[in-house]
Amino acid sequence: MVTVVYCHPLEASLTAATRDVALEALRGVATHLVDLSDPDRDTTGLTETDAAALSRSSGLVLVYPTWWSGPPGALQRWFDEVWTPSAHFESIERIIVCTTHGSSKLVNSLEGESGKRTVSRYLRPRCARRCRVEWIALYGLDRCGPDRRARHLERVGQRVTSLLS
Amino acid sequence: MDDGNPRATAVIVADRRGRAASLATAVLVERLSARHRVTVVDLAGFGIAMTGPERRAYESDEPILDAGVRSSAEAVARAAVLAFVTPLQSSGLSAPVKGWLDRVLVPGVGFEIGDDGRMRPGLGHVQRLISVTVDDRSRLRRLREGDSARRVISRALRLVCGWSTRTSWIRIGSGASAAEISDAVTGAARRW
Repeated sequence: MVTVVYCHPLEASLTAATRDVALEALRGVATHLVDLSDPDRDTTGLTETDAAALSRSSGLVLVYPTWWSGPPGALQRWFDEVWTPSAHFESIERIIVCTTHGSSKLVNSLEGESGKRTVSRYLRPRCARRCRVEWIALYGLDRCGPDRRARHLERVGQRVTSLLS
Repeated sequence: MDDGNPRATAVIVADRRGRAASLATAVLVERLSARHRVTVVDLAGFGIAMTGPERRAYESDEPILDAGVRSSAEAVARAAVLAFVTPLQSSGLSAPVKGWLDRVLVPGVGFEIGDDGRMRPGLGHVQRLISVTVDDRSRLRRLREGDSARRVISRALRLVCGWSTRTSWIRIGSGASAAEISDAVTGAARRW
């Protein structure tokens, strides 16, 4: 089973297209989709549902835009509620992060890439001992053309497919 | 006493969930009031997620649609001091504080995007960034877990402030007494 977490308010976004590519790559595999796009989402009972799905998942795919160097507020709330300090999901062997950054790689390095640290240093140690993190990022989104966007989607498809091997 | 000079403005963005965060906000208001006009943005009830219409408006000339977000943005536009009170639960800032950054510090407030698509700082008027975190983790565990919250404020947000902007990072435990919280904030406040 693979859990896919999606967080972006617009359906007409590259992040939504990335989610679709990831789900297509996982066709035929049991998938649990956590959709954080609705700001008025009633989370009653969903925390337990998501935690139960994670405890059965071998892979986790996070699809979100990086804002202010980290995940959006809705995804941060999901981390706070589901990935509590005592939570462990030892069945997860791979985490794939598909994200976009408005600014360049250099600017993001200066900013400290806190989102990357959250995944590699907070989430990963709560997964399987040999869990690997793969970071698929499109930097400079504000200035990139359709070619780079298409290459990003292609790469997402390839890497998410690799979860199945 | 009013000396005729308008006092600088301090904005405190407070996620006051929990006794320690609430007490820390009160102490911060008291310390900053000596030299500043203080505005407290209470994040209770503030939407943490950017909505679809807000995201569509993000790159327009009118990126702010919500009255609460606008009032925060107007306060930030005058701020010489920008302070945050945030409990840390997993990794990173608390969700309400992160949501506030996402929704309020949009183009024209937190930064500008030039015709060449490059980002330029928008908070050059902020002279000091203050963070009060309610965090029970040990120093070793904070470092091991990446200390993401500190990076967001001290690096990402700091980058859109002025060259001389200073930062203060104050950590208190959730079980700290009122006296301990007061001492922690007051000790740091001597440098403000």
